[in-house]
Amino acid sequence: MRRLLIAFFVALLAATPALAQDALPQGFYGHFAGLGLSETMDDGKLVEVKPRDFDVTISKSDNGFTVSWKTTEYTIRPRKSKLEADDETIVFVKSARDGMYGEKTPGDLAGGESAYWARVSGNTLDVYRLTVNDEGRHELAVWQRTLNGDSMDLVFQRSGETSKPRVVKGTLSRVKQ
Amino acid sequence: MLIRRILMIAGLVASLAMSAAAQDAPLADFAGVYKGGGVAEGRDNIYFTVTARDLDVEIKPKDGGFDVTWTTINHGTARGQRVSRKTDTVSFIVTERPNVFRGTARIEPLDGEPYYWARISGRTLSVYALTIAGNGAYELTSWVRTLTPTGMDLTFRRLSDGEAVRSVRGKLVKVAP
Repeated sequence: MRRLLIAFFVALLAATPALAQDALPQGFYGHFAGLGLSETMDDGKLVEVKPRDFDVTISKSDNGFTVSWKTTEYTIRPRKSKLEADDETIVFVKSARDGMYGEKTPGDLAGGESAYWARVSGNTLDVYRLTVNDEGRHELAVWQRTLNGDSMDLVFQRSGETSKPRVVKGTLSRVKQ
Repeated sequence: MLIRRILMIAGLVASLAMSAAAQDAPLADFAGVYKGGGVAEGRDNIYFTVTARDLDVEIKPKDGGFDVTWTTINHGTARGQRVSRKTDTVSFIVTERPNVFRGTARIEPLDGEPYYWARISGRTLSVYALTIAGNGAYELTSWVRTLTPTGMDLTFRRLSDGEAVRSVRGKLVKVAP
């Protein structure tokens, strides 16, 4: 009996570090897909609304997590309808601050690469991207993903000096663990 | 004859390519000591949404880049509020992109230190600082200085997670080269 108990506690101790390394609540890991609407503003007025498809896969990685996302935007016009897809994969690692994650390989912001960081707060994962263009003008984008069971609400906001402000809202559902 | 034409075309192409950068004021035009004042407006302090400020700045070109030293004296208007004085110096170096500069300090923004970059566009020198707060929220501060016949106009803005929390408009006079 004593041996069994010792074996049980040894197994528990061995498992604890693995659990402690999980950066996100377990529910975030998996593949989610869904759709939403993109609203673009100009001078405070809504000038464009487009449907969008979303795919996001969040997986565990060394000392953090990896987020891969793909967005497909539909432009629907007579004889000019088109699809535009964009995708990105970012590996985040734990920073010195609780709940904060930086890029595994940080970009050179002033040199033209984007800088990413992320924060986890309860069931919400925020991913930030700052880009500085060739003229030194900036654009900030934030993806806020809130988990609700197997459903994920997405709010994307873009602001800055290089493009028109945009808000995208959508809902994704888990399609794969 | 043919060589002369080729040279002329090459010169024309080169001059067209350089014209955008050539329209920007050289860094030397911004050098000097400037003094002045302005009015601050913001929602980050309910007791003095309008504040008298001094906005002294010194710009020193150095090795292709420049140093900016600025002093802000916050007089306040609320009873019992102390006068505060704050001086900062940031060094900037050139990047591969014309008229875009980066702060020299090796900064990890996730540690809470500001990441600086700057750009010259026309007669305007803009300095930006990105700070990431402990909860992941970002603060983007910009000092936009436009040359005038007597000195420069300053627009200072602070955004917190995309929302304007403070802005200052000021006029500065050049008091020393």
